[in-house]
Amino acid sequence: MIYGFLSAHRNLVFFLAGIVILIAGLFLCRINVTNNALVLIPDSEKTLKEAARILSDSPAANILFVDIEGPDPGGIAALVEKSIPPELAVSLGSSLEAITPEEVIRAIPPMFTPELEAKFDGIDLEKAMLDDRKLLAGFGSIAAVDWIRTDPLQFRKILRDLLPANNSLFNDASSSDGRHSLLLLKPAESALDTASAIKLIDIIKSSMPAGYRLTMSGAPVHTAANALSIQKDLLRIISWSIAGFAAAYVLLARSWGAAWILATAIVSIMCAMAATGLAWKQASGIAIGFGASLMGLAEDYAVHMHFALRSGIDQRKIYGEMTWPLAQSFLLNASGFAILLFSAIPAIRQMAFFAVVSLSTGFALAILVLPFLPGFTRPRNIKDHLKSLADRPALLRSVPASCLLAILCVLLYRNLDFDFAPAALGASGREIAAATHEIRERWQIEPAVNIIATGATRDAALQKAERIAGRLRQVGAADVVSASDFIFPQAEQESNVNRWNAWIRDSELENRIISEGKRHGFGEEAFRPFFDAIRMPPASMKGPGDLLVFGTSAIIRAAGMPDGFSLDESDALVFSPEELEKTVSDKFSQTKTLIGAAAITLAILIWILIRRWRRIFAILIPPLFSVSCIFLVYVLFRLSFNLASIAALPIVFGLALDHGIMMTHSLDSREALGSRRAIALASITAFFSIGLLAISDHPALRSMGIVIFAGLLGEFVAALWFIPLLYPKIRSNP
Amino acid sequence: MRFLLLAIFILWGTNSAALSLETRQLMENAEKGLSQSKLLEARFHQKTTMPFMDVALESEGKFCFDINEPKNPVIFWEYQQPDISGFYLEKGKAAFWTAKSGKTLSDSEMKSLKGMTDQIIQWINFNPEQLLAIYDVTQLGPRSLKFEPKEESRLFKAIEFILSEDMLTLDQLAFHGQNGEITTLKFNVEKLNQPLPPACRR
Repeated sequence: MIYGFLSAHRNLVFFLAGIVILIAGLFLCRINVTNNALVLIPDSEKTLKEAARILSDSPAANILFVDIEGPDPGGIAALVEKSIPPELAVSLGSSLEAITPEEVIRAIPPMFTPELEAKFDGIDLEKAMLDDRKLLAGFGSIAAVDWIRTDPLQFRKILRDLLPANNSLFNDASSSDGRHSLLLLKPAESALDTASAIKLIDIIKSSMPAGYRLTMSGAPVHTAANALSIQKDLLRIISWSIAGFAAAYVLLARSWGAAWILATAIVSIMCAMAATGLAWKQASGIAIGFGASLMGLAEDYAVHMHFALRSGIDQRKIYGEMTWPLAQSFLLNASGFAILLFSAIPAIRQMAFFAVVSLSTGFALAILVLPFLPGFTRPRNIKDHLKSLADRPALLRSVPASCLLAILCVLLYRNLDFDFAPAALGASGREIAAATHEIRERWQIEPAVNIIATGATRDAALQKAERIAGRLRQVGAADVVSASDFIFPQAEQESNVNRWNAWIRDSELENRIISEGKRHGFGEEAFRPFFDAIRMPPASMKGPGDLLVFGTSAIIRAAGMPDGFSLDESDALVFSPEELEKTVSDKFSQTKTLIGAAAITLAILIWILIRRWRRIFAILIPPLFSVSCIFLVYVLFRLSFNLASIAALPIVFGLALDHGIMMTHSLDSREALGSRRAIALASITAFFSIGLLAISDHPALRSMGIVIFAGLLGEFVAALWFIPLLYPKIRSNP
Repeated sequence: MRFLLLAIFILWGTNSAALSLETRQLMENAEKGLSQSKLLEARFHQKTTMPFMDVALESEGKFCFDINEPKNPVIFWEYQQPDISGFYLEKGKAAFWTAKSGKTLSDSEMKSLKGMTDQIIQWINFNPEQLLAIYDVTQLGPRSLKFEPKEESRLFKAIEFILSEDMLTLDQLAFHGQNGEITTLKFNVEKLNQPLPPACRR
């Protein structure tokens, strides 16, 4: 009935499909893809969500540590600094050093608290003038002229005392043996911006002359290493993929109509991307990358329909035969992925959504549009030779085979090694960890405790930070540095500026400086730059405060948390990267539970949809054998299952289940449905699209590739050879 | 007329080339002479004049170096009149002192001092190729050179350099600031290539 209706209204169907594709294309243009790896951090808990925001936004989380070793490390560090364009990164040390005397004077008014006023009141003008003369007559000489003319009372010394002393976060340094120099760079873009990270690290590497050793750590190193590794892998694999794809289609399809299958896969992915872009403000590149690997699954329905319609004369009958098993397969696959929508990890949720939409589109096109497209059903030359087998599997074969495979899966699963550390998904993880350890040891960078105070406004956050820092100092916490030490709430800044203006006016500073200067040989115009600077509008000084404040959050850093200190401020949390990594690992491992839930849901759905024990056990052979093969490879080669392996599992499981359904249906119905060739083509194209990732260098891609490679091999063998073995041969009549 | 213009051009060209050759020759002679000075003990007199000051600022002191180990130079620089302050660099570690206090510099403090010591070492080593890459060099007299930074410097506009007659040491060094300030350092060599006395050590 459906076939007749669709066939009669094919032009309307094509028109509606065209409209849907057009709308998807329009929404696709609006998609905002981000490479931000933070989508991998679970957002199920407020603390973790906040931690992800800190990692993403905090400037302090985005510092590149560069250790240069060689005969003149300082000189090379200066050369590196010079070669980096400011729009890419700035050196924290040089940004402090590069501050002009005028900027120092203009930065004082907003910071002019009563405490600072008291210190400024204590300045001895005569001593200051004598010190200026000493400096000019000594080391400072002409190099000190600007500073002395603009800052004759040496306010800079008082301000310098406010800066955190010997804090590695704020200063570049040279080692005492003169062999090492540490350069701290603050990238202009987010640490997760791949293009900037690669460019920055390239410039640093190319500035290194022979005989020098470079060690780097920090978020941009991870970003660049991962992006480069992925680029390299994809470039290596893509030519093989295209060649394999083309060969598979030429050898197995031998029809121009097969081009519609490729178009189906492309349209499915396009619709899925458009829908993901609509559902999320920012679509994760990681999720889309994983999702796109589902092309094999999305095109699977089209492949089956294509070969089935090419294997018989009665199109209407074949269409009727194919619709229900394809719908069963779609419902099972889609519901499996739908379970993953409940994941705590945003990337997994996006991938699951992407998968559900692409599968739905692939299924809808295969059922509603493809059979009526010109050339799709021709040439009708596909032959199946399965009619010598019985029309249902032998119970004594299918039940023991499935049970044995299930037991094998469980046994292998118990021997699996799991590694859910986020580092297991990154490229060059060990090398970067070793470099980080080396830099920490050499420069004695102790992992500090970071407390993040958040408020409705930046001012509220700063006030909260001031309270927390005050309490920490009271209980004797070491090396406490707070954003509130440098940046004051707006109202306080305004009051400080007024205090400064009054101080300048009431203290008759200008006249006193001129008269004291004259006594020490300075001309009347000697300190003109200072008088000009104090009349200019106040300006903020680039400095540590900028690293410790972002959005409406302010950071307080301390060497450690003193015993008995409890953080009873609401909207304030202790942030520790080590603790975060541990929590994320724990959350990743919970994905196993979700996969288990998906398996149970599938089992229930299979029973609801199929309701024939013999067939169910036969259908389960490809997925069970596929999973056994995956687990066996991981156990034999002592590999660790990580989040990427888990994410790849549903893809291969879905394909295996689909092939189980189609193969058993083909045997049960005793119709020539071209299932064997469809399974071969779908498996081979899936292998060439994602299975080849097994030869990647990038750990996440490799893990995914190994799962797909081993899984496809298993399901391919099981669907094409094992399932027919479950069906007894029909004895031919004498 | 054309011939006259060509002749003027050739004469101008050869004159410039000759001047440049002479400067280069002087620089090479300076390199040859200065490279023989591995140990030095000298007194210096520093005079700074500035347009915004009614008086010239003068100071005196002692300067020593030992560059027998080029990678590990020893530098001693001390102002002794009218106030005491100085620094001492050996094995990559530096000490800084004044009449009232003295301290070994921390690693981060070393960074700013390193800029200064690198400058001193650069001039002691006097490598013409390296200097020509950074400065435009003009010869001011038979033993005098002027170095102007190719890239604008916040610190100085030019450095003038007068070599001793034997070309083994410097007689005078003058730093010209951006606004007419001049600091002149005159050296009086006391000992050359003889072990440094304890007065040059810390």
